[in-house]
Amino acid sequence: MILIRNGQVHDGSGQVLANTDLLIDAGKIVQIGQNLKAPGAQVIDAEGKCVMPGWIDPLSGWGTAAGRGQARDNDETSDPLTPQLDVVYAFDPDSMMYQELWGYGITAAGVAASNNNVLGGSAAVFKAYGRTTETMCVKANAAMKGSVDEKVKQTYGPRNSAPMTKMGIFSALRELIAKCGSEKDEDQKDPKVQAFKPVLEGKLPLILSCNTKAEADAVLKLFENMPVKLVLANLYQLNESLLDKDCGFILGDLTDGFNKYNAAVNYAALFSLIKAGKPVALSAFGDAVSPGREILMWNAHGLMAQARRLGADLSSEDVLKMLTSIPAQLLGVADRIGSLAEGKDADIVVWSGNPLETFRALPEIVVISGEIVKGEKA
Amino acid sequence: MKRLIRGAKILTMGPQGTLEKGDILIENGKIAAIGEQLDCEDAEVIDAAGLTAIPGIVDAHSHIGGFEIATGAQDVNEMVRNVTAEVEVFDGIDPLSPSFKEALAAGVTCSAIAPGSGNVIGGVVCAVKSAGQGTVESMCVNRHVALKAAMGGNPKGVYGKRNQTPMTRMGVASVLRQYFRDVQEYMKKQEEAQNDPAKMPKWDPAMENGAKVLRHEMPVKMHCTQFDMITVIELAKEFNFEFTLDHAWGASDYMEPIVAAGCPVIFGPIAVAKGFGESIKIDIDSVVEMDRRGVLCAIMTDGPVYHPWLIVEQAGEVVRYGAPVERAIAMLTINPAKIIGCDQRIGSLEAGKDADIALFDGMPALDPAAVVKMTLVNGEVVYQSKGC
Repeated sequence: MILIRNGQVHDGSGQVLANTDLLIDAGKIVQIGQNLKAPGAQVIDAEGKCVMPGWIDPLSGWGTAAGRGQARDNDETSDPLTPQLDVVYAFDPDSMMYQELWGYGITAAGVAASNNNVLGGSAAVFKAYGRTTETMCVKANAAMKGSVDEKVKQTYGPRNSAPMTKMGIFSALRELIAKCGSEKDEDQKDPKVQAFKPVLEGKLPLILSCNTKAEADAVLKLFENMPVKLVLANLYQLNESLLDKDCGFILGDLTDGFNKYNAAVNYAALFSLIKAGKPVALSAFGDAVSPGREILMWNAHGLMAQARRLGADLSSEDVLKMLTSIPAQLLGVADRIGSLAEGKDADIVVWSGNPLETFRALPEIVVISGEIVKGEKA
Repeated sequence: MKRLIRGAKILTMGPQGTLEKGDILIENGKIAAIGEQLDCEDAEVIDAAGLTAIPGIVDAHSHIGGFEIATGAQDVNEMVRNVTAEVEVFDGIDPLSPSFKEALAAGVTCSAIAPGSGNVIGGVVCAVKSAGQGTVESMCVNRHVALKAAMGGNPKGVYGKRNQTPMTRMGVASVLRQYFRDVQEYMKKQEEAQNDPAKMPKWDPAMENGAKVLRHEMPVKMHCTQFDMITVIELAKEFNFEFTLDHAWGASDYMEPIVAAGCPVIFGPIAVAKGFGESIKIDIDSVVEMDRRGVLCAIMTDGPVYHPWLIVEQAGEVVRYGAPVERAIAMLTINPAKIIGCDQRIGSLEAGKDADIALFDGMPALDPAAVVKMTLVNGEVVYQSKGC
């Protein structure tokens, strides 16, 4: 057992609890309260420190493609439509561990196919620390990942093969949707159809990368009147028209200077989406291949600076939600991670200061699945 | 034209230190005075109460205006040969590049634009302000900042693929050595000619730029990481030239030789996934230690690799690992100004210097939500955020 005592607990769903203890046993948070007693537990003194849930980078290539010169095992560009692929088979625990994501507060990530395929396959959620794919996996088949952005056209167009245009991308999607509705036996046995049907039935979220408003509009049009659980990713060109759309959002990386779209985000519209309670998560990857572990936090900082510039009301607890409980919700893993509550996985970071309020903040102690991976060892 | 910035917290980064609440008087594009409660009846007043003024940020290693993201144009990598010491980046910069506007919105008022890093010697680096009159000349602060050179993966990647030298790090070192030997030879011939035009070697701009380096009129700006830094230090000893270590990933493993070399370090950019070889260690915490031990340190964006605001974010990372905020601000202002030979004009807020100023809401490099409200270059307001 581990007792994290007397910290300022930011639970990831908006609450801040002063002088609060967390008791951890068998990988889970078993009790949250004041003056907890736990004879025999390893005690971590968190007085004056900031205790947060580990952050979740919801849409990434961590463990599959990170690092320059490494094989990109999440990038099967032999066919633009590969919903039948499963990113679990691309995942390399050593590659994930090598990045030490917890050094910047990240304890889990949504791992998905690249943005180069219209449908890249099913995404999974992994812990940042562990020994095997199996033990690190929080949820396999957490969502279907695809892309309608220019990366698809840039991948297949130069080969003179479809899709070369946005028409081609949506034609491929429509054809698959039609096949899913077909009664023919050969269609129903098609692994692509079998992989995509749960999406159309609303059983599996669909995360689609779209950089522009036009791409997002086309996606919304394609799936209107279908019970599809849509998550629009990257989406730099968002605007207020998305306020009445029932979908989730993963904002793409704002730091990459080679991205054509991320310097012109409509922040006023973004802040209205957030204020309206739409689930908007932050992320680090965008179209970049190998960002560093700092990028997720830097995106949070960039967002807060834009809020200050515009005088928008965005508290550090709001931003913490975008790094924790909201990505957990979008990936369907909120029952296990993304907030500090009794019964949840013990993925906890004890910061020397609030990293969303000062640069003088280091993750002094990091606990993942109840194991101390950084800081005081037992 | 006079302007008075009133009531700001001012980090002058110069002899006046930090003023908790002070005024900056600007006259004819220069700083006329800094103090508390300055009086000037005929000045246009900028109310800066609650804001923090720092010298305009200087990015000592960037390529903005040379690479254009929207069009994919590149005009700073003349990779036809492994040595193109004759070219000047001054001729490759688009003065109307949107990157300069973006720089102003981040408080970056001056950048040393480097050619390369595709070849071993890429050409001459130049320092430009982010605002001017639409020409590179009007933006230029120092046309001959340094001769740019690149070690390691970049030139290897370009020439190795062509089955040309350098294909290896041995090749990179030998190309540099040969170049400086040629320059020495060229200079010797010039000296022996004793101004006799008949005996003078044929004028060669690539050799002339190398001669400037060997005469210590400009340093070599060395793109290098990890153990390439040691090769640079050894070459500099061999040929007696001044140099800066740019990027400098892995500096914590080479602390003693770097400190002993006494060279400036322009660190960054960080936030790259850890890989192998050059990216095995990306250690901005090393900057804290180098600074403590007297190394003149600056932070770079390597623009357009990162958007300009990431220069302040990286300074914040230096603070995270233990540097006082004022030291981190120095790495964005006076230190890079000194390194690129422009500190007579920019890098600190002092009477007589150019009125290049960034006004932040929040303390940059400490408050992660700090944002630029206004930027001035040569006393003119060149950026103003909404709500200011």
